[in-house]
Amino acid sequence: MSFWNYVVTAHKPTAVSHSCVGNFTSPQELNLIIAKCTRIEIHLLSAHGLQPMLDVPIYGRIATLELFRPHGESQDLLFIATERYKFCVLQWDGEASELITRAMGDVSDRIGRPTDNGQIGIIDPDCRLIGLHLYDGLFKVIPFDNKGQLKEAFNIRLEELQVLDIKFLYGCSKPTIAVLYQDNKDARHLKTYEVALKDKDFIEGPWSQNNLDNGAGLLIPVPLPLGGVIIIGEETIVYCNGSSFKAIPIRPSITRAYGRIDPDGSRFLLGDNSGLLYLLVISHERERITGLKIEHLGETSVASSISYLDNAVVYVGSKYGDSQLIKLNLQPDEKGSYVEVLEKYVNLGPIVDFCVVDLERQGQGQVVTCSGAYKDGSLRIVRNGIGINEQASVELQGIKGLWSLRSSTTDPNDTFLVVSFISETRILAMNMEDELEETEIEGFYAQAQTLFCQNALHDQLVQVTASSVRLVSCTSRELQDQWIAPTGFSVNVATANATQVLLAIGGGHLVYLEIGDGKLTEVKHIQLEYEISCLDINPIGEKANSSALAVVGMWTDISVRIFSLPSLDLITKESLGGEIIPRSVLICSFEGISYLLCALGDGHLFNFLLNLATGELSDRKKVSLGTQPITLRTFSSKDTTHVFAASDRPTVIYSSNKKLLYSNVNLKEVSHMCPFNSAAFPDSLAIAKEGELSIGTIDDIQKLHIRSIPLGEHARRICHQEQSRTFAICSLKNCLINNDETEVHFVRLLDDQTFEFISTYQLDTFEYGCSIISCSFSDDNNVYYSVGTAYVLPEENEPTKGRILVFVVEDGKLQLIAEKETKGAVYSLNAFNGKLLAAINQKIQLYKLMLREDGTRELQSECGHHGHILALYVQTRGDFIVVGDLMKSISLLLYKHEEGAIEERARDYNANWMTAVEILDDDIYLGAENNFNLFTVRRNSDGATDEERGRLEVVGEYHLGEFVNRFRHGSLVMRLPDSEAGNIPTVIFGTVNGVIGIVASLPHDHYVFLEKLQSNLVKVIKGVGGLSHEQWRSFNNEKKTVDARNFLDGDLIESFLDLSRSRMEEISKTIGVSVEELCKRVEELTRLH
Amino acid sequence: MRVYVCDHDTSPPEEQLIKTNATNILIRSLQINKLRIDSKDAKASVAITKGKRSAARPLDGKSSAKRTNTGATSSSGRQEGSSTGFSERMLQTMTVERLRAILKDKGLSPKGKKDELISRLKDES
Repeated sequence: MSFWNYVVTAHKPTAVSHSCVGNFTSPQELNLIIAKCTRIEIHLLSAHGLQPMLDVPIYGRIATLELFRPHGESQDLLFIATERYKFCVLQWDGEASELITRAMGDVSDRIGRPTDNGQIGIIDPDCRLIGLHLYDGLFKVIPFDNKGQLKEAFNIRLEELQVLDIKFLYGCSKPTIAVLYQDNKDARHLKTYEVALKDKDFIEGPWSQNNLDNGAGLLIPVPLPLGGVIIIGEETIVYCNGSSFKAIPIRPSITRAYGRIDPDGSRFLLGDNSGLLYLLVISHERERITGLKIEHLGETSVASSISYLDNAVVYVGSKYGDSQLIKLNLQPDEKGSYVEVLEKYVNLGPIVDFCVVDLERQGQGQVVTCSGAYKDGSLRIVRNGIGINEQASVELQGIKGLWSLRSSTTDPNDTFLVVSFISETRILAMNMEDELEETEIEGFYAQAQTLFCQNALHDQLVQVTASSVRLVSCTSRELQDQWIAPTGFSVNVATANATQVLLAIGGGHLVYLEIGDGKLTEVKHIQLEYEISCLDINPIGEKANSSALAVVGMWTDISVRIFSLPSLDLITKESLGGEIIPRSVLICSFEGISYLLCALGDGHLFNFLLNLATGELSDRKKVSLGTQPITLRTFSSKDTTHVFAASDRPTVIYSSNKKLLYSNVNLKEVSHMCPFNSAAFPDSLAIAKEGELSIGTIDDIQKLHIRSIPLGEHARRICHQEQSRTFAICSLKNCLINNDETEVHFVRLLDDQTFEFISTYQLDTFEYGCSIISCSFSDDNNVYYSVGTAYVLPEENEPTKGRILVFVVEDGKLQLIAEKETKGAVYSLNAFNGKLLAAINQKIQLYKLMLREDGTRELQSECGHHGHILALYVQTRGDFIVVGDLMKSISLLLYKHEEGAIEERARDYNANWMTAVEILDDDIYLGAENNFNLFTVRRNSDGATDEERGRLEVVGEYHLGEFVNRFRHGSLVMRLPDSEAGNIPTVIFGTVNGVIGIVASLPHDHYVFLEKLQSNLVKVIKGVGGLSHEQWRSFNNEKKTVDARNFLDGDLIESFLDLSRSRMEEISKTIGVSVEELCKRVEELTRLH
Repeated sequence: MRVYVCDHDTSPPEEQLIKTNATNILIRSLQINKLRIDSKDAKASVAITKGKRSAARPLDGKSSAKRTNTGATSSSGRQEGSSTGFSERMLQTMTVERLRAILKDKGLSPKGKKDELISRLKDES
């Protein structure tokens, strides 16, 4: 790899932090706006439900999101503030369908300590000002003038330093805020302030409330007629407005989110940290509160935002689980829950750990993540491919062939589905109720396996069985003509098109028939030296109904031959080599280029360019698609032809920019496929797989597909073991023990196909699983799972005790074979030169596994290295060890075999707080730190002095805007040797917001080219709200801000493909490269993920 | 969902590029605090009968809110007047800290017991 890196998002953030409802896109339309870290999604509420409208990338991490309506506006404006102290006000221009920047600005201050409890951004309900609490002790005011325009902002000193929440109160003649804060004795109070805009200062507000619940953390302002504020605590809920006060006790819980149901604020929804949803009702007589009532409604994902939409439908946004659309029913269901989940929106966040595996052994990586937190914890299997949306399926065993037929030549839709079995043929048809029903075509022979069938000219159908070829009328469905195989011979392979039939009968005989009106004519019959294995006469030439070429695959000499039709003269013979016979051949044409595809019995596929005029083959290429025989079929989707290769690893073959591409289909094994375009299932495919026939539509692009395995507990570490075909995870669960809720930690073994728990090892009380790997030791043939743990005692700041546990999988059970106590938390484990390398608090320690005399095994410490604050992340390569420290960036260690010692070679002297590290190549290491930046460092082994050699030079810096938890080498796409993308090394990363991204190392010339493209794109693609791309991607932490270097923003570069043609041309002109070339190069990059 | 690609100009209208007032927050806060303290003094001179500070506080806020409407000139004028005319009864209602602050303002020694401070202030005026 190199330090010219390309960073791109493969899976966008899915954790929902904010949501709000209002009339954003038009005065009549109600919108739900969702913030997902660096993106906002605009949805439209319609009679049919929630319709997605737009996904808007924002150059910043969204800190606050609010809809508001200044006086005189007919629709709402959107206020967004980012964590890096930028804000913007957006307006939707319905005519141009564009987001317009109404205002923007920088709200940072040169001095000031950023708040600990997150940034607060609020808007006065009467739209007099925007209030921001970004730094301790400061309250920033952006006033509106009476035309709804923003004016110069100013800061006001806020005496309260530990602010928990600030909200504007309703119905105050002067803008008034309620501040919930904690004093230096840790007691919590509420205070109100009026904002005097002229004086640029606070005036003591009308009332205050001292000594609240110790867990009070959330304020809910109550609209008029009541006014005042609700203070949500952990044990009480309090309403107060200065004159009246009402409190009720609640079941202890931490409320995470609220949503207002009624505009008058008499009902609110509250979501707590365990995912329980409550209804809070405020009963009042005019302006006087008479009571508070709280009622448990049911369970949802742990909510981070709640937006009441309409008609008892509520959007629950979550960071810890899938976001949901729920309906609140008037009557409880049998479990006593009023909540009905209407829809779930997949959320991978937080990705705490993941591993890249190839479960189906297909050469394509898939990512298995530990996603979600607490009760919403799950494993997610993320795989790239084309999806089939199954519409209907029936159980059918032993399908040997599948064809669709139209009821007449002119009918645009398919009516019949011919399903062939070993000794019979069944015909299914759509009935009046659009259901698939068994029917009969009288002229067909149903007591034998069908080898081929086809709609022919003159409203006829052709059926080929082992003994005969039958020509049947579509209208009368009666037999018109029949060709019978010579006695002693049977038809082995057959193919046909609308006018031609080609048959292979035993002994290498090849028979060519032509279809006339009610008549089958044998035109030619030749004998070849070997048996024939497959045939094709797919018409792609000038004539739509007949082919001038016939392709024949042969046994014995393993060749494909091309014959001319109708004369059956041999034109070309191409020997395939090897011993595996061709099982399926197909002539097809993509983007005007003709190809011959030839699939072998072992899952390999040859493709040739085919010259239709001369029948010559050229440009031979071979790829591996699976391990089982492949059956090729064409189908069309969106007016383009694709080829479906049915096998143990079904693949769609298509072409883009005149290159053949292969895309995984998200199905296991498919034996047969045929297009089935019926009225009820337009553009569908009929698919025969293990014991099942299903009908479904196919996605037109390949994308990531996510399978969820809910665990009901929080998985924190995962690893896969190839040999035992298992996953092992470290997880935790809140269990009730003696009526006390306690965390219990486990090591669990899962089957890698079914994802069922097959074995569990419970850790001690207070013992956390910190790391897990699958490893083997020198002089030992077994493969083990090694688990590193820590005893996290409440009274200790850092764990001082941990364990390394070595398990072997025997009969699907975890067997503990060795255990070693450590003097700290085992943050990381690595297999290292047949030994085990552990990072234990500030130390790196190397262990070997020794066989004792009594046959038991023991971990023995060999050597170690001190000198870290906390060695949290360790990666190894050869004898080199790269350590990511809690706060001392990256250092490089070397293990010396002869001396049996580990010593430091070099380090990066910056004070980066690391969250993940990875080794890109011998000299370049990639790190992620906790201010959402990525950086690369380079070892300077050619340095002149020791000082130079001992320094890791920072070579690349980039602001990712995401908190990376893990890097892993690997790829999400199939690496085919003939694609350029196949040679670009990639690292996958997973983040807290559910992003899966790719860091790809590019060759230098490629990088320079893309850098030029990026700098031109920045001029054309503007940041929404006027936010700057350059500032967004600049490396930024408390110490420094520097422009990004040696990293490219793949998300920006790939949006080139979404530009209009004229914009593309504009860029192409300035760079001096044709649009086609640019598209081609960018599309190649999109194939990295 | 359609991904939004923004290829139009997104810079805000010229006057809507918002900046923060550059006056140092501490300096402004001190100025305002001084004004408030002074106005408190003025108020204290009016509300002689008020004994407990806690009761005076909410009124305090309201009165200062009124003050904002009268504008800066009148309040500074009041400030002038307030610094000179302290009756002994008024001084007695003040806390030691307030007295010391006033003494400091006048460049007198802030040391001693409350009675001494009051007498020193009376001597001065």
